[in-house]
Amino acid sequence: MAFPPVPDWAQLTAALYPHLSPPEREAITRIWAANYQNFHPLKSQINGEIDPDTVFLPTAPGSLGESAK
Amino acid sequence: MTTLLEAAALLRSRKASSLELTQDSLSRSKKLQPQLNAFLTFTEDAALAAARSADADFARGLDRGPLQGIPVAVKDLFYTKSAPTTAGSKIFAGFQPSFDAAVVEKLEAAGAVLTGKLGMHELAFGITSNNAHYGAIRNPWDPTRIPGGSSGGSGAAVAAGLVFAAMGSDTGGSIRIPASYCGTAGLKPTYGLVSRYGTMPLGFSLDHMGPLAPTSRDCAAVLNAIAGPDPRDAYSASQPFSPVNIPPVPSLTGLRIAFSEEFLLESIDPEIKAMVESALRAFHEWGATLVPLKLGWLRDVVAISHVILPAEAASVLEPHLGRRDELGSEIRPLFEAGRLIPAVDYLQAQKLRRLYRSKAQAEIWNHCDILLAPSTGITAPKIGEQTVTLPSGLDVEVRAASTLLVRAFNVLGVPAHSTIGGFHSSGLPMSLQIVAAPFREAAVLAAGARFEQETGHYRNPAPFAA
Repeated sequence: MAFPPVPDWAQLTAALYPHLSPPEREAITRIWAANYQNFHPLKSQINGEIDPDTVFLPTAPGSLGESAK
Repeated sequence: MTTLLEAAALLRSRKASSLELTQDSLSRSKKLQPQLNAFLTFTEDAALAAARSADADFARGLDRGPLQGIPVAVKDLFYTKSAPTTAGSKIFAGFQPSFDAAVVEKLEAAGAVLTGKLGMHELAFGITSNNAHYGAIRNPWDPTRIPGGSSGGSGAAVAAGLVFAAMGSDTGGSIRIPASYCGTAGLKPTYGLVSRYGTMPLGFSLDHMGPLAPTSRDCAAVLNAIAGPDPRDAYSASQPFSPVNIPPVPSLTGLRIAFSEEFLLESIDPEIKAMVESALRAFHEWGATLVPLKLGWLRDVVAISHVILPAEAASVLEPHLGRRDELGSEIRPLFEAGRLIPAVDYLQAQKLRRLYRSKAQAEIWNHCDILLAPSTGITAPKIGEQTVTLPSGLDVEVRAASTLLVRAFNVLGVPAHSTIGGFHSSGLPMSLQIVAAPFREAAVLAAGARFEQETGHYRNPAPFAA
């Protein structure tokens, strides 16, 4: 499944935090990019039938269509 | 070092009174405060009153269990109506809760004596406990080193023998990292087993409350006092808690212990790897069966945590993010970056979490009773160190190296326990992490207790301990 490209973190940081200095924006961009570097490819495992665990129960039964690769 | 249960036995044999233990605890804590900076607040008057009350209860034959009369302390994110709760933050410097955290209620109901509130990494969002507002907390094994975090004061206070147990919280390793760097036991229970009511949140679907104490048996004693359903915590597990009862010599016969060369034993200090391998051989000699697994995919679970935690943390602190100057420069960008995570990706991360929970059941818990790994891949770094260099020449970033092996188990919500596994050639403690399926606290604590019984590592005091 193709996903939209990873956002341009620097542009988004600048848009949300225009009042911050360039070094401060750079720090945020770096953290954000690091957080995402391994996450984005994982999304290919998701199908539309899986529910999120917003209220996390470690022993809860799975959703419809749940499967682990 | 005297353990919690040994102190409990002293009280019952009348060889010591709670008042004596409490006075000694407060006296030593204050004496070492300039060197260790473990405490933020002492609750001396209330502690002495509670100690006298415990002694009176003993005198009239009332025994509430092993915590009665025992000096303990809590991380300063547990609400206390008798003392401020700062969460290690300048923003909450004046916060005086109007009620006690559920854990504090339960500790007091069990007769424990609360001697104070412990220092921590600012807002629990970090692992050094080098606090920008309240100063660096120092490691009792070497005060030039960090105690780990975010429950750094808890680790330092237990390792120095200032209290017999300390409460911590663990969102991405914040109990197990200080337990590892300070050489104590520390349990992150199953998600929802211990109420979060009255605690300052960080990542609400990842936050776990648990004890640090000298031994696994001590952790079990504290867990038995604090666990159980709480309708005031929306995420509290509804099932009744069965107290953990560890036999005098826990049997390992037939116990299946998994390990993974992939990920859990990669990119770590070779001495820590050798310690884990030695522990595996010892467990095998004591009757356990070893099960090699390939768990490289736990890296993916860590990646999921990198999306969930910053988003939840930013949502918690967003009302205060306008007070930028009152946030330490280290944690401020973490919260600000968290605000940028798309809602869709946060939800996708929670869906992935569900998938990986199934995968853990299929690929780990269906094959073993416990999983053995290091708690941290390095020993306690120096205060201010940003990277450490392993003997292999590999440079490892301190934050990543400290959290890499623990974070996945917050995402999975499973019990994960740290206990001292041996000593590095530097003299610093190295720790084992023992993990099991949800609600199998008894398995991890019993395995830890047997290991401690056989090795006696916990008997070696830190230089700052009594």
